[in-house]
Amino acid sequence: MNGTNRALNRAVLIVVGCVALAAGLAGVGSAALPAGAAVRDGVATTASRFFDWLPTWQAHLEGLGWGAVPWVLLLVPVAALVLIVLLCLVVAAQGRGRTRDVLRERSAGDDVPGLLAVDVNIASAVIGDTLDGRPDCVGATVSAYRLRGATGGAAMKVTITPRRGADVGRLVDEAARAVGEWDELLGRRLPVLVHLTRGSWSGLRRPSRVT
Amino acid sequence: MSGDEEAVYRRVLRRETHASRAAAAITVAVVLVVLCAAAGASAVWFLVDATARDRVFAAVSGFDVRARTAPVVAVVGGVVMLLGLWLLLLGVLPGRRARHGRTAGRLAVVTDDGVAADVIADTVAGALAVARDLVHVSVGHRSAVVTITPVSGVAVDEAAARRAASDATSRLGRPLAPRIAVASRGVVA
Repeated sequence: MNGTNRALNRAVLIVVGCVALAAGLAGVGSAALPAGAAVRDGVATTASRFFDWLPTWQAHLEGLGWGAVPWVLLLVPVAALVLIVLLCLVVAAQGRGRTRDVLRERSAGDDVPGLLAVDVNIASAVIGDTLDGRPDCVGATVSAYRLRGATGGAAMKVTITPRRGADVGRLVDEAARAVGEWDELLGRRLPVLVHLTRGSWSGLRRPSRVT
Repeated sequence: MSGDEEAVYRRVLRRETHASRAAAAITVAVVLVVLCAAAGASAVWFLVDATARDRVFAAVSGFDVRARTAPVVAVVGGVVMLLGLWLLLLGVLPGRRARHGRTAGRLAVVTDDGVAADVIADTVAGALAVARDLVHVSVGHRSAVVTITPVSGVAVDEAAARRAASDATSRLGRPLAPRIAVASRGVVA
């Protein structure tokens, strides 16, 4: 439900995957195919020529001849820095969007200018506590996320862990009723996602018969 | 339900039932950051420190020999190739999670497959009047397999089990065709 940029994640994986796949294929191909020996020789020769060429700059470096620094080596740290910044942006794009405000809007009245914010705790008290008190429900939590295209720019997620043996259909009906009450209280219709989950320790919990 | 809300729910449900690939992307990014930092740092070190330069040349002096050795190239290339293929598949495959999403009136509802399996097992066990532990259900994207371990000497009413399982799946709002299997070895009650 968070704002993770999934297209970006997949683009990163596809690009890095393609580069690694191509490099690996080239390596395996040059080792397996008869013509590969020549390719490997070519690469090795180029590499050793490059390494032979580098020390010729060494003389210029003595006495800090910065004008004669091999540009290739200056390019490496710069490229590395740019790439590091881009990758940090990728990591920073993960998992954002969780918010404390279910609703946040400028008040419509001209005479009383101001900002109206409704905290998720209130929604939790109305929806979560109603469900939490039921014997067929192990737990219910309410969280809010910023969401494009939603009324007020936010959506709510109600995570319900039913007790084993519970009538899940009735639990969902109960959630719908609680959300209806919340709609009336708020005066808006926010998108609501109900997530029925098993919880991490469900196997150890006592099943109960609810009639 | 308005068209706007429907579009929002469609998007939310798609996101909730498919993997975000965040873990894979973060792992790749962190590994690349470490490699980039190492490359950048060693390049700078190489520029300012003469002894480091000598050491680097000593380290790479064997490179052209190694690059000419087919087995080394093949093994390294193979590992890199498999890693690349794996990342590419992670990027391209849908990455469905073990959940099912639907809209139910005012709400969008996502049900974990484990919850669905519990509900089906409870219903079947109740209909057949057998212990809950004797019914094992595994739910996939489009299938549900109900395995019943019979009590020795008591026949299993497969038709009743199928009816109960279908009833449970329709209550869950999932288009699953349940398959009933009876374990060949029973237990003593």
